Amino acid sequence: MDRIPLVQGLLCRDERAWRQFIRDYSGLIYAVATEFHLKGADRDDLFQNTCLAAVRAIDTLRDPSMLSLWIYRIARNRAIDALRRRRPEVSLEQLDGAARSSAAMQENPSIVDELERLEDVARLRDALDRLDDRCRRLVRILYLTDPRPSYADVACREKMPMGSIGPTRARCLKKMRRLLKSLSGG
Amino acid sequence: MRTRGTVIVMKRKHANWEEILDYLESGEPTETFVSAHLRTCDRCARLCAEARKMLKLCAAARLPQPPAELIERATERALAELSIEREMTEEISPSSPPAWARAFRALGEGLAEIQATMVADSLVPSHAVRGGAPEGSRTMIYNAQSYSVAISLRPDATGAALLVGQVVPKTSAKLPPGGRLKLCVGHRELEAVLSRHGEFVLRDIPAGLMRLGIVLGRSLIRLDIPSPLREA
Repeated sequence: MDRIPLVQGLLCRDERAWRQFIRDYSGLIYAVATEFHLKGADRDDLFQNTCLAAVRAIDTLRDPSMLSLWIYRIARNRAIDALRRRRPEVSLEQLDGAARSSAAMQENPSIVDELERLEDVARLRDALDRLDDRCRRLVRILYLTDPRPSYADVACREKMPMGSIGPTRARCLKKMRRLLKSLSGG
Repeated sequence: MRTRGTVIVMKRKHANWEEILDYLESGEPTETFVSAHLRTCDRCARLCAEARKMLKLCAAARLPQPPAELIERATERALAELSIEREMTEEISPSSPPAWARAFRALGEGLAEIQATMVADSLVPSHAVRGGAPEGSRTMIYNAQSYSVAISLRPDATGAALLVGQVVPKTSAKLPPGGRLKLCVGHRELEAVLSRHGEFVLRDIPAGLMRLGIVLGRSLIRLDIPSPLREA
């Protein structure tokens, strides 16, 4: 389902659209919980509550093309709130500071850095959804599929000449680079 | 002897975007026009840094999926919330009012109906309720003109829910005497009376959308309680 019909479906409380939305954005929501070092029931709780909060807040979605960033921010705010409920006297900045100074965390990127990365990922997904169908499919297949398929596999799957995959992906990534700049306000 | 290929390479000024992507993705350690050129050209080095950042971001966007059963559980909860929303916005037909509307009418004739609005919910944390909801419970605060109503839903030992609440007058010190209430969940109706301090308890509440009607003097305060308990 494309972005615009998906958002229309979400706004109309269409069950199919909501099923699709939760499936498509589950990785991003789950990643926020992981970056906040939530585990087990806490992580599951954040995931479910973020989906529930999305249902309640869908009318606040101002720009349908920023759906990833919107759901990312809902998940992030709920994660921050979950941490504060657990340790109400500690601010997020302090939590991050504590994380930076702890020996266990020194080997890992800080929460804040990781969240910035996730916010960039959310922007990338929004940019990806603004690409034309062909580019969107190609970028998804080449860069978001694990393991990455060979050009021969892509040529077969997409019915494209193998020689045109490289130049097409370069054009698509160039378009995405422009879109990312515009989404970042750059 | 100069080959044709070499002549072409020598004439070129900058590396293009596609070549830079190919260079970054090839992972080949051999010296190429691009690798040599990047060492001397700031413009192409900047473009290369941008391309590298974008490829890194694409790799980061390959996020692991949560377990399928968690997605299913979250979806079911979200869909349940949607059906509750739909039920709450349904039109009330005067010719065949729903069961809860009939039940509320039975509370008394000529009551002035006040639709309470939710102002805080521990599932949507705010300063008003932060820290106020015990684990596994859900606390909501409603505004109903000159009254505030606080309710807390908790699981009981049998898996049903317990609803504890209090009506508080905003302006006067006392509540009108004889306050009573009725809770409708599906086709079930549960009744209780308010204590002197406006407190009430309802037990053994089944799952589903709840509508609570509270009679205070000549007013009927109506609360729509939208959601199931937070899962423990």
